[in-house]
Parts: sequence; C-alpha cells; structure tokens
Amino acid sequence: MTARTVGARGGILRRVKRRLSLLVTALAMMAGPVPEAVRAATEKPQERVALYTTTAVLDGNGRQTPISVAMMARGPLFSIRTAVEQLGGTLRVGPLGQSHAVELDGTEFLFGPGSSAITVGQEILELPQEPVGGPLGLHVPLELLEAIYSEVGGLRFIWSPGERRLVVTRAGAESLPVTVDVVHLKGVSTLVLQFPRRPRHRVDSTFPGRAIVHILGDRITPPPTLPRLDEGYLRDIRFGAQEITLALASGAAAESYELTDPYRLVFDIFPGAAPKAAAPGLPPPPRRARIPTIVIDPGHGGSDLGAQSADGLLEKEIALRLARILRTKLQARLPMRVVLTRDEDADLPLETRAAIANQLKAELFISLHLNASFGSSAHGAETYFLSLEASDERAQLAADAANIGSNPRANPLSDLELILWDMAQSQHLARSQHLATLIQEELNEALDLHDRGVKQAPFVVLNGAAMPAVLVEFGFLSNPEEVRLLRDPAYQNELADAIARAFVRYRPAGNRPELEGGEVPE
Amino acid sequence: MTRHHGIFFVAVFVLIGMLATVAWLYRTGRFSAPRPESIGEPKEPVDGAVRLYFPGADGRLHEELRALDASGGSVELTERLVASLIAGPDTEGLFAPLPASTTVGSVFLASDGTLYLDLMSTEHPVPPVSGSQREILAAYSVINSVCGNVPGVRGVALLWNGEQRTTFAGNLDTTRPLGPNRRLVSSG
Repeated sequence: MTARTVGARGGILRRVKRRLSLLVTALAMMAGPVPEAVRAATEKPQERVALYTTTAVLDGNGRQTPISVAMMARGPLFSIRTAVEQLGGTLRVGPLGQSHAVELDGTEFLFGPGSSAITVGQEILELPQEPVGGPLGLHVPLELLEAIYSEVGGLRFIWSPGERRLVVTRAGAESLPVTVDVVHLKGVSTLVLQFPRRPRHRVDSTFPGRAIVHILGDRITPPPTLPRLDEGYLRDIRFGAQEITLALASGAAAESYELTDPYRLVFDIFPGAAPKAAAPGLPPPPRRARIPTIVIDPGHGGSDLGAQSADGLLEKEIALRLARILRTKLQARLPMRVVLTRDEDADLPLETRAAIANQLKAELFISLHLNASFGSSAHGAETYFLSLEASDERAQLAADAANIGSNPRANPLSDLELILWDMAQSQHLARSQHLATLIQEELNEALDLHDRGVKQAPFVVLNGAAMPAVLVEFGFLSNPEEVRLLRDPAYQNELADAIARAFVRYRPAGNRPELEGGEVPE
Repeated sequence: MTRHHGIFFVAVFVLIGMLATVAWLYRTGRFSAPRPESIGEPKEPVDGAVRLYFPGADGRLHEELRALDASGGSVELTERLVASLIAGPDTEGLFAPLPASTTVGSVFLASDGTLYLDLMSTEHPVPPVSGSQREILAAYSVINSVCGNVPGVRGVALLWNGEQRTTFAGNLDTTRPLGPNRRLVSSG
C-alpha cells in the first residue's frame, strides 16, 4: 500500500502543538516585554479555528437539507453526520471521538480529526486539509465527501460559496469495456479482468462457489470473446450490465487483489477447505479475517533528504531500500500484512506516518533511519523508543484525565483530547522498549556491530503511534566505512534479516502471539 | 528593672542581630544552601566560570569550564553562552553544535521557567537536517548549557529564524520546551 495525495497536505497536530506552546508563550508574555521573534511566532493565523460557522443547503437526492459548514482559512468543512444521513452509508464513531468510519456499499473509509490521511481498504489518501471536530460533530473537507461518494456512490459535488449551497448530482453512467484472461499454473487458476481505468466496484465473496464483482455507476461492455475454461477451478464467467459473476469449481475459493498500470482486478482461485457445518438451526456467525499489520516507515523522503554521506549517499534512499527488503522478509516469515508509509521518494509529514499506522490499527510501527554525528568515527546501530522527558506535563494531563474519568466526547475537539491522541505512544512504552531491545540484540549479534544500545528520545514520528513503536538507526552516514557497508546489498539484506528475526521473537504482554493471524467475530 | 530583665533584653537584642545578619547574608548571596550537582539546577559559578556542553564524536556532551562575563540578566547571559557554543570548544576532539553562521535572534524568559531562544541563520533558512545523533547533541548542547547556567530556566523552547518548528532538524520534537538531559553528558 502506498500513500496517495489528494491535494496539498497539512498537519493539524503540528499546528495544535504549536498553538499549545504559543499559548504558554502568550500567558508568559503578560509578565514582561516580548521579543520580536516570539511575537511573530504567536501572531501566526490559527488555521485550526473556524473563521466562522454557518448553515448551507445540501441540495441532493431531490431534497434540500441544512448542513453545518465551518469556514476555515483553507476552505470549507462540512458536517459528515448530515452528509451521511442524506447521501447514504453508515457512520461509526470511536469511543474517544477520534476514529470515524463511513461504510458505503461494502467499502470502509477511516478518518478522524487532526489527520489528513484517509484509509480506504488498503489505500491511504491524503486530504488537502484535516477534518475538524466541534460541538456539531466532525466537519470534513469536500475532498473527503468526494472520495466517499464519487468513488463508490457515483456522486458529484459542486460548492457555491456565494449561495452557500452544496449541490450533489449523480454522475452519468459510462461504458466500461473489460478484457478477460485466465491462466492455470501450479494448482491455482488466475483470472485477470482488465479495465481502462479503476472502476468503482466491490467484490462479493459471501456466496459459496461464486464471486461477484459489482460495478458501481458504470455499465460493463463485455469482451467479444472469452477464454476457454476447460481446466482449472473457474467454471464460468457471466456478464451483467453492472456485475460480473464467477462460478467456481466445487470446493474452490477465490481471493482478489488489484494491479495498476493498466488497472487489473485479479482473482486467484484454488481448491479450498470445505466449509464447516453450522449447528442445526443456527446460522454460522459472520466472521472476518483479522490480518495483523506491521507498518514500516522509511524515514524522510521527497524534499527531505535526511542525512547524507560525504560522497552523496542519502538517508531517504537507503531507508526506503531497507524498508522494501524488510517488507519482503516479514511477509515471507509471518502471516501478516506489511505496509510501508511511503513506497516511493515522496514527502510525508511526520504526523501522517503514525496516523497511517493508527488508521490501519497496526500491531507494530517501525521507523527506519540512518544516523550521522559530529566527526567521522561514530559507528554502529541504535534503537530508540519514545521519551516522555520533554512532555511530563502533557503525560500528567493525560493521567489526570484518566483518573478523573473525564469524558473527552463531551467536547470532541477539546485540546485535552487532541493531547491524549498526540500522546498515544505513552500507553505502549513498555512494549516499545521490549521490541527495541529485541531489535538491538539481533543487530548486535548478527552483524557484530558496535552496540550503541537502546535509547529514548522525544522523536515526533513516535509520538502519536497508538501501538508499540520504535525507530532504528542502522549506521552512520558520517562514517566512510559504514557508508561502504550500507551501500552493499548483502549488508542491507543482513540488516533486514536481523529486524525480521526480532519481529518473529516479539511477543506482546501475556505472551499472546500478537503477530499470528486469527479470526475475530464481527 | 531587675537583673533578670536586663539579661532577657540583651538576649533578645543579640538574637535579633543574628537573624538580621543571616538575612543580609542570604540577600547579598554571600550565604546559600548547598545545591545538588545536576544540570537543570543553576550551578554556582566556579571562580566566575560557566559550564558549557560541547558534542564529542563519542555521541556524548563534554563539559568545558569557561570564564564568561555573568553580569546582566538572563537574556544577556544566554546570548553570551550560545555565542560561546557557536564559537566552538577549546578542547580538541569536541565540536561546535551549531553552524558558524548562527546568531542569537532573541531571548525571552517566561515566568514558568521556559526560555524561548530564537536562533537565526541567513545561510540556513531551516536548521541543517542531519542524523538523529547529531541533532540530539546539537539541541542538548544548547539546552544543557542554558539550563545549567542561567538561573530560573527549567526548559528551552528552540525557534529557528523566528519559527517554532515541529522538529529541530528532522526528528527531535521542538513543539514544546525541552528540559536538560543529564544522560548525554560524559562522565569522563
């Protein structure tokens, strides 16, 4: 999975943090004269605060409904609750009011205040501005409504600020030609449906012996000819105006995934286990697979080069290379989903990296970096977990809130709640330290590296991770000998191997094998 | 007046005199309770010297005693301390924590003990990005030196060219004040 940008990005957490710090500054200023730089820092526009709130008209589905709008410096935000009530779908809000999920036609969109990232299935989208909470519930940018309702519901939005009217129209159905290819290799039948672009669709595999692709909005143009289906586990393909039905061989099961450039929807069909018989009179409980997730964060990226060696080796490049190798190794060893926060050379705000892991409900978060220091002699690897030294007052605030049983939902956008979210990592420090220790042990043992030990620091990228989270510095780009090693693919392979072994050894509290796949009732 | 009354008045007079003397010693700084040896607590100058903390190649901060004019208030002292750090160490093998082009823009000590320190550099619009060790040593070189020498400073909020930044140089959280870090200081 990669992070995709919908528009210009921002970082509300960064601004909230700045606002809190500047609030302290402002209070302190009452005591005496103020230097110019401090005054300038405090006079920045408060982008998180609405310029004003108003009521507009949501004009869609043949009805006109009032909708709350928060006018921000960077554009309007609309009430997600009203939008879902009028346009369809189900809105679920997490216990702290942070996690919001809209489910529409089987597709789930995860988002929340203070994060410009949306998770859609396995894809991360980036909004031009973050949703903001308030007494009237979460307000979201138009791009989020478009992501939900254009992608799945086939709706288009036109915002007229002068008239304060949000017009919703249904996009016309377009012809969608599809080509079909089938191969049967090594006991697996693979069906490839190729489209000129990614169609709005969902895959329904709830009926035994069948898999159905529902096309949303557009109309299918079937291929003139179909491949022969004499062998393998695919018995038939049928095309409707808006659905493609695959008939599977008896006992076979299908798994689907997507490929891009060109867009293809692929089904792997293989002989599956016979379904267990349900108890008489009772329908089998619906279950969904819970796939454990590790998020790997290659440090820096895009315009942020990170450290660099004297001869030009860049931290952002080696971090990405190591992340890709580690992903391959983890996927080979553990039954889990491994997600990179960035799979290309792209800018990605620090807060977004942890937000991606949070939205995927990842079990573990690891940020990969290369070090640099003064002089050229420093060498070796070190592993960090978060230090709360810099934020004792904030940690105390969180503890106080927990002790008095405060209900952050009473004011969904209170600074307190944002602080609690921002300090999510404080709940996982013991497990983070455990993971950091395992990683450091493996790096030391495998590579006979100089043991720089497990350390703590107030690193931004670890702050908001709501799961055990560590940051690994693999070596020093300021040391020519380590630069030579870090360039070597074999050495990179050994580094990734060491990390993978640490993940295999890792067990959460209570010795429950956290990283093993399982199923949980819905 | 009886003889007992006379002794009583003399004793009271002596006691008042002793209390006044102690109060004067405290007020003039000639007498103070012993302080624990830790960064973060202002230390008594050693013959007018201040303690500066410079990064070493070993990933530690190393203490250097310097004779520095300690007159003036917290602003003037901070400016002189940071200027000395930028000028670099006397000890071979240690490093200046900040680029030579850095200057102190402005300093403000808030009543909660947070010192706002605005570092300026026309050569570097943003702090030069580096590895985390270099970043940590650079930041805490300044923070430890200021907290350890300027009375009343509990933490330092670092600004760069007038901006309060998310990180100092790519990793370290500078959205809030940072207190001194003893563990980085070399014991050797």
